[in-house]
Amino acid sequence: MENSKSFTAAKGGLTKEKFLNNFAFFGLLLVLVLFEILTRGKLLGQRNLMNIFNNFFSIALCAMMYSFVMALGELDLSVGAIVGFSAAMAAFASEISIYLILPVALITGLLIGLINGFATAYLRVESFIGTLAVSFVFRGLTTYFLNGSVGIPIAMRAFDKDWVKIIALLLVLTISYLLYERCAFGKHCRAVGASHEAARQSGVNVQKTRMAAFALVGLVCGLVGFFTLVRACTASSKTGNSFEFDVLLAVLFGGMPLSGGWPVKFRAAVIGSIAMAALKSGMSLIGIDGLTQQVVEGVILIAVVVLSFDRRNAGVIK
Amino acid sequence: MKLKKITACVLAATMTASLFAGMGVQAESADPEPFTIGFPWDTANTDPTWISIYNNVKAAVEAAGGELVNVETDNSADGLIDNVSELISRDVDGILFMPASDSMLPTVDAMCADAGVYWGTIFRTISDEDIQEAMYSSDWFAGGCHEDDEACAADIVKSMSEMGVTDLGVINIAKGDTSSDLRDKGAAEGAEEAGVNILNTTYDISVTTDMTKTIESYIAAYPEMNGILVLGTYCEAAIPTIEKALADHNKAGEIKVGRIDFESSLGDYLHEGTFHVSYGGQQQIDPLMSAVILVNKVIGTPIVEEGPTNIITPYLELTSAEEAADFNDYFLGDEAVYTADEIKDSMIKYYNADIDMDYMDKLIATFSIADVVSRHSK
Repeated sequence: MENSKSFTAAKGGLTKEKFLNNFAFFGLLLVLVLFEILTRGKLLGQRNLMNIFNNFFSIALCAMMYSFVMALGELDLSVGAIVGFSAAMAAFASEISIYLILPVALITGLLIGLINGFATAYLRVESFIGTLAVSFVFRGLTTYFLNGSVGIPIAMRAFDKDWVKIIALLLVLTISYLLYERCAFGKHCRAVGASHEAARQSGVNVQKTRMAAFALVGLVCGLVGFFTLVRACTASSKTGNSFEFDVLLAVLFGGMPLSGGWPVKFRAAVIGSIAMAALKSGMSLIGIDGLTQQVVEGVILIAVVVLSFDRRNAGVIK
Repeated sequence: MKLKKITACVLAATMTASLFAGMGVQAESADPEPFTIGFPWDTANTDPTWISIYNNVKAAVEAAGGELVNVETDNSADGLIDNVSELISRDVDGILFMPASDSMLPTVDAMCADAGVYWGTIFRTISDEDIQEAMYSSDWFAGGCHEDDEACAADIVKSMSEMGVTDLGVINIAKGDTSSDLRDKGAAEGAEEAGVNILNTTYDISVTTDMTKTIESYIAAYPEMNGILVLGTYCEAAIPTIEKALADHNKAGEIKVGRIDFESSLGDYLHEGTFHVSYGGQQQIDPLMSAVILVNKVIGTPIVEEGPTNIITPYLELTSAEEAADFNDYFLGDEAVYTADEIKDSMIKYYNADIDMDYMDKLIATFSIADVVSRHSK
């Protein structure tokens, strides 16, 4: 019976389950091969690789911590607003001392993450609505405080170096991987996402777990805010615009199910971020216009959500 | 006999050499070396004005034998920095963009200087004096066009005041945008001079639903409001949305409507008498001229030898349905406001050595809706 359900490519080879578990890898491979051919080798050329890395960097930083929220079966639609507000506060802090830029960005992000966590865990606001509301509040505050845009000393571009970003990325990758795969916290997130009642009865502190997951996303958004600020040397009301959709698209493209729980794999965040960056760069390189790019992204999103939806657990009351 | 053969061979060789030499000179002087100009622009926006901006830049680049490389942008400072980085990685020779703020320019200049790429701006001046001084001394800043946003905003407020407007609701682009700030300043000056009361200003409306809500809020909150002025917006179909909201509340025609920057629907509402005044037309000439400035710099024949070339383009006034119809036909079509031959002959110094700032100023002074109609209706 099981065999009849398989898409057997070869005897004992690729089953449907294996394909669904790894479709993000296949998707990434397809994107890379397709655009490498269409761009006649430009996609993976040395200069464009750095370009892909720059596109991938911010999305991947956030997507890795976003895994915890996705594992909970929640969403955070405020990440763009957190990036913008953190960058704005850090830009103001630079007027006092440039040494305050990073700490202020991180603390601001963390505080907003805690607000999200509190609203979701203790006030029982649906994360979709709660984080959207927080997003409106902090977008408004960013516009109000900035009253335009604020620049920082151009010398801060020294932090926009590839090696700095690679170190930051490896650091966040290591911490988030260990937390997700090797620590109780990652398992607690997935357990709560699978069934919060079962998790609670198993001794998991559901509220603290939720709070911590949103706080981590906030913290990493502060870091993204810092890197966004040092890259452009300016914070404006548009900083971080649509970032929430880039991150969401990346994790979904990586195969993370919106239903949360145990099927949420950490690797999806990394694969999805690379695939998104490569897809965008590839489409740009072959000169696809903006409208068509939106259509392509939309079609891919529908396809991956359908493929990654965890139907077996869809009926389980959480 | 042998001498004749040798002489014939030498002559033949000489003629062949001179032929190739002549061809070389011919080839060198005929056209500039191929080049590419990067242009971050939101091509997903289907507003005819946005499409015409792209078409005008493309026309200017291609007239000189260049290729335009487009990358999608959200026009934010960080988005544009990413765009510049991407274009540099694609080996372009020049980058033209609409700056989101003054403070992002030193970063762009540093990136372009590192890569040896010229850059230019459209639609924006540099207001911050320190940044302006630094950019004007850069070897890589080619210059650009901008408009006198402050004077234009002051003039349109005074113009609406003459139509009887005393209480004005205002819509503008996001704060921090150079044009937005200057237009705000100009509107405040014009209002003070004409005795107009600015009731409220709403910024950064990008979708029609928000535009409708804003107008409905204005109507509800300010019963005394007798004028709406759009100082700027990136919202598509802004005027039809405003007109619909006014009509739904039986205020169409009663509340005077004006806007800076023309859009394709103005003629219909001017004809119906529900729209009253618009200053604009720079949205086509500005990007075209800005591209011309950059192209001239990239191909080695800058309009101004020392420092950047800066041209102030004039605002045109639109007050009749006929002018609006001409604007739609000749400014928003597939053709640029100057043809490829016109650009080549009168704007590219490589082909016309007479071009300098005086020449360009005179050319700009003749630009009007009637001028474009007369040149293109032939």
